[in-house]
Amino acid sequence: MEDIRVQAVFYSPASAIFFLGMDGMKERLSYEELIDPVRERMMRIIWRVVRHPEEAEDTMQEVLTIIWKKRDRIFRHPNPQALVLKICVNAAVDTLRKQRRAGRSVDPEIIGRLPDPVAGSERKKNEIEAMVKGAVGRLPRKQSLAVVMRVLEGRSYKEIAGALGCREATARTHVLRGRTKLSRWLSYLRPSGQDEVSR
Amino acid sequence: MRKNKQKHGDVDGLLKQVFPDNLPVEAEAKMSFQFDRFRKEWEKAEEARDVRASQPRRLSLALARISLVAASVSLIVLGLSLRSKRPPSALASSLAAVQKAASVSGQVSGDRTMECTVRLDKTGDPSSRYIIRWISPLETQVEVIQAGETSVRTIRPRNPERSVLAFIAKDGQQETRVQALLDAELLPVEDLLNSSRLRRLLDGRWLPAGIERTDGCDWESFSISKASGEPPSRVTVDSCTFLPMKLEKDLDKGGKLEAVFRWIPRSGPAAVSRMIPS
Repeated sequence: MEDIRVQAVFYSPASAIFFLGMDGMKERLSYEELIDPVRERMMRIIWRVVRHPEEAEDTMQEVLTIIWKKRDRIFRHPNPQALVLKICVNAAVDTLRKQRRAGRSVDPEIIGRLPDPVAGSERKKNEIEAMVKGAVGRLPRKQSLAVVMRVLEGRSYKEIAGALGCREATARTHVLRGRTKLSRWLSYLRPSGQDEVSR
Repeated sequence: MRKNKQKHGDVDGLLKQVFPDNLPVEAEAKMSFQFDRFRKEWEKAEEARDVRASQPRRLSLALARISLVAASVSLIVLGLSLRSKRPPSALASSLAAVQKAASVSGQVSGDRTMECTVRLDKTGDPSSRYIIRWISPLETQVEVIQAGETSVRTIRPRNPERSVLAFIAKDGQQETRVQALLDAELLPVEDLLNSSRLRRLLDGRWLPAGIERTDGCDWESFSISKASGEPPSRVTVDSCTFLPMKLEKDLDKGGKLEAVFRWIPRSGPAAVSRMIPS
């Protein structure tokens, strides 16, 4: 943009019009510019949340479709890669919610009534996974996005705020509330939660 | 607070345990295949878009370039034709006349003294000459030369902004004396007796009459017509100083008045005293 201003000063008005007109075509990003830098992270975050081969594949398909449909908006975004990663987290959390609705995850309300997974040690790993997934899927959308981005991706509050389109303090609140709810719902599974449950 | 931190630490640990960062090779391969397919579709779409867009874009750029060049050329031609046109168009000359009239009025009312030689020719009468000197805003000296006899009259208006004659007519006590001083002989030059009056004389509709080139500056002539239907006056203006140099006026009964001005900047009392003939 700065180049444009400099050129417009030194060229005649007619040249400036040509310059601006030609440069206006450059507002598109190529596949290599947009996707390649975040390709690995996209696959990892989708898999990390969904953890199911076919559903991860479907989620990725959905993400790529959204990217193609909204590419003009993505190009105009100040940080296009951050927006792409947000689309991935969003789609992955949506898949979690679908899993919960389909009964493939365990509702946190009934976790306390299930046999003790630690003590019994027979509880299969996938059952615990189903419980945690169910809890994350039950969180309000912004809280679940914020928790996933903060805890699993290790993003800063500033980045989360940018992705969610809110202030940094609001992003902190989303993470805090999400963590608090998960802590309450999953207290049965937490090492320090055993005492709370017994009390 | 500490308890909360511990709880949240436990939750974080649990989440990381349930959602480990361990992308299996099979899942990675499947998703990579999706990426490759997406890249191909993207490139194909971009190529098609470029082909579709390139032709109209090239055409529109060429058209824009041609129209800009044409506009520039036509503006240059217009500018050249306006510059080379002599005399100027009616609009340009009337604008110039208005501008000139404003400048002349301003200069006349400026801080200057003036000496003016007036020649009055009347049908059937011998010609008269007047030498008018604005000595100060409050004093005007008029030398009347008629039939070889010279008489000098000094007029001191109280309010220089008002017409000398108007002042005299309304001044009760001095009326008789002034009537005697300002006899009919001075009436033809009443418009030249002070700057306000002259300015009013020049304040009319100016029409360009011609340009007389002199050394350094142009003297431009204008005819001034009044709304009252008086016969038009013709004034010659020095385009360097914007001061009137000559005034010619046709009188009602076939007579003619010609005044030649000489303007002297009034820089101080010494300059004024030099103007007064001893």
